Amino acid sequence: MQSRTSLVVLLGALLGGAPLFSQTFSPDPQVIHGELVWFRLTETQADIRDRLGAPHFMAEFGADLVSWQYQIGEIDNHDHSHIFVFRKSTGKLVSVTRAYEPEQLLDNLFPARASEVHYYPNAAKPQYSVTLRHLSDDRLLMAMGVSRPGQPVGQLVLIHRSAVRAFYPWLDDSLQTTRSKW
Amino acid sequence: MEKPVTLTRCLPLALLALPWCAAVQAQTTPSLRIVLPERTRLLQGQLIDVVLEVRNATDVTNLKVTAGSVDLTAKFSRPAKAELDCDTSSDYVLRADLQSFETAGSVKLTASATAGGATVTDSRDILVREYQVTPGRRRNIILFIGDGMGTAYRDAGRLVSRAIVDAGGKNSFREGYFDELLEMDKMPVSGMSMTYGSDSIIPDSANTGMAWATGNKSVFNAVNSFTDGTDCRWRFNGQQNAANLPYMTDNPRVENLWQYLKRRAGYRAGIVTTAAVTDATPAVEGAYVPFRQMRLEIARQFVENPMLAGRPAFDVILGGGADPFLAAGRTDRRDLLGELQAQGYRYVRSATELKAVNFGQPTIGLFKSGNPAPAASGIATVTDANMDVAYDKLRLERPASEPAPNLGAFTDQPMLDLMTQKAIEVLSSSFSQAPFILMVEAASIDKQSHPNQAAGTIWDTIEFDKAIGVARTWASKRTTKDTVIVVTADHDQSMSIIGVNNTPDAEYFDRVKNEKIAWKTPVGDQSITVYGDSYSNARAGIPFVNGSTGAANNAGPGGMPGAFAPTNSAPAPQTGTFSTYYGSTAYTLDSKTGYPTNSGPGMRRLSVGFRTGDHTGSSVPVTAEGPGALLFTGYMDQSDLFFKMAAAASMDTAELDKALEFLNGAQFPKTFGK
Repeated sequence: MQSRTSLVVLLGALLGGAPLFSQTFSPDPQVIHGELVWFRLTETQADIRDRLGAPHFMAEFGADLVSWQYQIGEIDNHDHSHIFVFRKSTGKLVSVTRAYEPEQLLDNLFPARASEVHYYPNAAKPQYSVTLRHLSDDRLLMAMGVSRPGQPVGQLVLIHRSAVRAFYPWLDDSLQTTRSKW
Repeated sequence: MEKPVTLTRCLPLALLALPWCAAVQAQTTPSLRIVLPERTRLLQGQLIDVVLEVRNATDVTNLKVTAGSVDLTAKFSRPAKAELDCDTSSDYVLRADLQSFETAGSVKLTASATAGGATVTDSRDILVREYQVTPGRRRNIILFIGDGMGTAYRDAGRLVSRAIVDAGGKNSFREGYFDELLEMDKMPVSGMSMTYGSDSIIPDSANTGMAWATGNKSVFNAVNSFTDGTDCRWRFNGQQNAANLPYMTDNPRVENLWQYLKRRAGYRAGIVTTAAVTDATPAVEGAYVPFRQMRLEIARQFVENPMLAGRPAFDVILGGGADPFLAAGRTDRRDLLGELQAQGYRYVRSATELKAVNFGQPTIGLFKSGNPAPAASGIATVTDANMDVAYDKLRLERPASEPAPNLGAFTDQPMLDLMTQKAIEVLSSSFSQAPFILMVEAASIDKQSHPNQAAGTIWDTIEFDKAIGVARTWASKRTTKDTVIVVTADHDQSMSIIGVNNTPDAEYFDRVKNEKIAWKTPVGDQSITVYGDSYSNARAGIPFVNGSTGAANNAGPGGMPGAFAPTNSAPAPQTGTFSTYYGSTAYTLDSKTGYPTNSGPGMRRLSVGFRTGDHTGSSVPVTAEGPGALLFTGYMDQSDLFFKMAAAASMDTAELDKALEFLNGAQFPKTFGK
């Protein structure tokens, strides 16, 4: 039963992802006709390899994860500009991290009406904050360390809602209980 | 309660030509792991965190941990619930921080417990080496790290700085011999160091630094820390940030030689670097973090060192990167620089101020800063602010393909030899006459190699050699030969020596005349801009460009660089004015600075090529001088350097030193210029 479900999900993901790759790939999220266009988190390893070539660096980690890392662009000095995390068992994309160096202003990706802020460990005494936007298909776009418009972004994370627990247990809890407007 | 671990069995599904990945249930039994490498080596009394991870267990009871006949059980914390491996299993962690083993020899570390009703065990054989402080035999250690300085870099430094044509036209490099070798060449003992990380044959400056600083290997980016089960939250997903700090500050740590000697033997300790002082190579002497970019935490540990009960790690800190020490650069708004000054540290900011330093007061010199603000990640500052490179400090004109210098407001940065001289003066002039351990790093040999900037990297190698000369001169004047000097690299870089060229200045410095070359291929695009200095600085993907292989001015012998087919048929800049040259390098010396110039008539510049601009897995040279230097001969693992430095500093090396003196006697052959 579980296998059949996995197959259906996988097929859906592949078919759903196909249109994306007919578009011109952009290493950064784009706002086109008011819509945010980037990865759909239904892409497979083959999809990513087809578009970006072989990763510069690969590493298996955790219980069931594999990381593909790329350096795309000439100006960005970060070790790796794009980090893709897949589930090893399914080959399914879990998250994309875009590292910016120097940091970039990305307010256009986080319109006030669609964004919210979550605080670590809590809003009363925050040590860290994440500005978050819910996207379709249970995707979250997160500006790490950002709590208000005008703050530059060093890490932009696109992650499936179901994977938040694995990397950010506190955020998973916060998503279930609290929301603050950006 | 137990969570399934999924394994993948991928079968072809011919209909859709897609993999069918069936998740199957695997058995998940409780297990216990001592979070230490299989081959853990320590000095007597060297501090290390002993951490136990228990997986797939509903509870943990009946813990028993022994080291040989010593029962360590009581030193462990109560089992703490943990989420290891980014899965949903029920896991626990038990810690005994900052433990040590006082008896030399092989120690069997064994841990057992009852986990979820099952008995789980693990063990490690830890090799503990002797370190005894002998009265009257407390030696200074000066370790020089040329970051990325593999053999080609030493060769390049020699081929530029020791091929000087004098006013009479005589080259100090003739017939394949040098009148005088580099300072590091003159050191009597040579060896080679294998630099592999525990996870990769290509290492970085953090885990290679950890190897020679602690005697133990770890993974990419790790500063004196081992990996653990919570690393999956941040290590390979690019999500290193303040929200993940709880998982980034729990990794097992192992003490480095700087804190060990300060704590156990009363040494004074110092670091000198041309990088920001919180960069990886200087960080391994004073901090314990699993990710090298945790700059704010590294700076804090310099001031409040965990191995020294919260005391400062160093008596001398000289380099760049003031930002993480300033309140404006930190998330906690602590003024670390002010805190050090309140503890008696002198703060200097320029070469002029550094020159005035002449006694043993603890000193911090930070000669460059950037934009002192915390990065959005919450673990670093926005800028790293490495010091400018020697080539730019000397105000030499950069080749066309290298960026023009921009010293900004920091026009009075010291050269590395001055920094080394002052660090030695401060460290050696304490009232207690304590011995000292000092690390001196030439950081931009590597940093300039990453973008393939030949002039930048070669002149930094020369600057580094002058700093080595300062230390050698100081040590040679000591009435007691009590200073061990070791020169090595943390890892290799991809530059190689590929020839000599006679590119005229007019082409070499011309930023206007250039050619953009691009390839579009099914497996990736490449593009590069070629300037007239390409013969001195050939990049990967654009081989030594030469459009005139049949021209008379291509005088190189067959097979020499220059015989490559042109990558692009456009005439400029691959014209007949560019050619390889059959002969030796030839430079002139600026008598004011003591450095070779990189312009003028009659030059024959060194040609180098960069294959990747990244680190390589090749072994790197080691040279040594002083008591116990003979320990550093032969092929060795990089982690051996830690134990060899400790041995040279503490053991009776008289027989070794006598043998070395004999080997260097006049009766045996000697290299010209040595």
